[in-house]
Amino acid sequence: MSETRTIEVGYLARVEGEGSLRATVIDGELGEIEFNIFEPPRFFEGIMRGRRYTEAPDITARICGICPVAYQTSSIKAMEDACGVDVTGQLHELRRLIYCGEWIESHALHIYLLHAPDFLGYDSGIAMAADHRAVVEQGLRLKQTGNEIVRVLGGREIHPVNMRVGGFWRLPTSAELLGLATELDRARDEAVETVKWVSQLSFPDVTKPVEMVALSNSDRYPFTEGRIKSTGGIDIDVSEWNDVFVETHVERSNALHATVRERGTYAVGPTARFALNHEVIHPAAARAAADAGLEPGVANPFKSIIVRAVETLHAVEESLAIIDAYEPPPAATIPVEPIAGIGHGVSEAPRGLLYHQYEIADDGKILDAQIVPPTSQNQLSIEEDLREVLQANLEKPDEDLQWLLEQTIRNYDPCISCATHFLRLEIDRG
Amino acid sequence: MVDGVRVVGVGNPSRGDDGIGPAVAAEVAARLDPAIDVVVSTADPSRLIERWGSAGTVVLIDAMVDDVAPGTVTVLDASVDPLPTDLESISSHGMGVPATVELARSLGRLPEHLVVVGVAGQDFEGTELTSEVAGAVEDAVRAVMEVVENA
Repeated sequence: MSETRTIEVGYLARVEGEGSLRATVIDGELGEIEFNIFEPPRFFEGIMRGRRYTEAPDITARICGICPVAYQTSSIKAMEDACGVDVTGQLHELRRLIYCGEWIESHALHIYLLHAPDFLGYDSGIAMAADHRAVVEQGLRLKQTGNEIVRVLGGREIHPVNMRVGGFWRLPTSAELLGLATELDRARDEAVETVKWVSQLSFPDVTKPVEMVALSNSDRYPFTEGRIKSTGGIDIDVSEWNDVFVETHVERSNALHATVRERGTYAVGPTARFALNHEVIHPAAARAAADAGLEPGVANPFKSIIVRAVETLHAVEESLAIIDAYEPPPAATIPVEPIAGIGHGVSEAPRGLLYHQYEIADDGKILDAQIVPPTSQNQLSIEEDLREVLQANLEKPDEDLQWLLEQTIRNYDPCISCATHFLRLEIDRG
Repeated sequence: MVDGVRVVGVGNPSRGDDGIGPAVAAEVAARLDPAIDVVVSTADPSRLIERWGSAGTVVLIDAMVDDVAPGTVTVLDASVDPLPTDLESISSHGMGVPATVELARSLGRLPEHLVVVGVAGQDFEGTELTSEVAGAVEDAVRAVMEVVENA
């Protein structure tokens, strides 16, 4: 007679969205793992058809509350690509600056309030804060620095509205940038301390190599620059995304699953970015990573928290450098006239590579849209990590196993409302 | 240093009934002595804690989702009892007022007297308040004024 054991997590906290996990264990052997994403589809690509090419940034920004800058940037890059325009110079630098703000804001929230409680044995950031006041205060100040960059460059904190195809609606003033620099000066030390703090956490002993994919180039840590590369040898122009990757619908999920054609699972995100770009990260961030013992391409997914801290420091340093070198451009925007055709745009959202493709008509109407968010690219890798962790820990009691599996998912800081959403866990052991 | 009273309207006017906090704050500002700070904020913890600063009495106005009729005004004294919060109110997309208030309590950053005036919303799309919620502005303003006048 086979042994039956069921574990359920009613709702997975500290990620965005809803879904469930079903795992089958028969006589101690792990069978299928199914990630059921039942968040209703949001049809953003359908909403886009018939709208103007200039509207895409503000519509797609609504997909996500924590990474609207990423959605705006990828859609803007795609539209400019379709129209044959490349925005360079100080306007490009300002785009990098607001993107730095989003990384700082998103990474600080995830490190301090969503992921660290897993490592320290608390079931929430609120409970952790009571015992670690100074640490959490530090995280909130860091996050606030990111919020402030997004507010100043984006016009407001939530769903910023100042970015547009061709540049910005309004340029920041010198006084505003000076104010940011003062905050960033303070944040620099806090970001260094963050790397030290997370590197001292206790990490489950898991090795799960996966092909990692990110933008990469030989000059700068990427936000929008470079080609799409992987640790498995992919090296393509962003326009070739659909030639190498494929999205498929899986019955259990309202989010498409992305894979490398004829190869399978891959992962995007901070660990992938660092693996493929560690040589061009800011020297202060490289030093902090080395001091923390962080190897590029680290195969322990739980160490993603260290990479986020290193990237936070990079974003603080880069923001300061951009502000220091800033000279106001002659205009806030350059003209971008519609040309019928297809445009591709990629940027590195906090959670990883975000690909947009649009087909527009000669009058600027959007005919077709494709948006591939990071979490739908990471879903299979998350499932494989869960399998690895489950298989290695089947002897653990249900409560401990639930904790470990939720922590495993949070390694990816998944944003299911972007992919279309997470998690109720059910393990059928018989 | 404790420096009096502050009124904070929390919410986003671009999200339907979520705009009730800023709407009530605007009405309160028109009626109060200008010396009393009335501000608008997101529920982001660092921002909200900064907004209430060192005030001894803080009134937060926010939309809430509840099983009561839209427009129902509920007054909660957060300095006495924890707000009804659940873990899902903290996510990758940020925190709501209950989670932020409880985080501030854990950090020892609550003002001496914190009152939350909640207005039950029903529709969080668009840029207008629904008629039921718009009709509750006056009740919510009265609730805020009562706290301010007794501070």
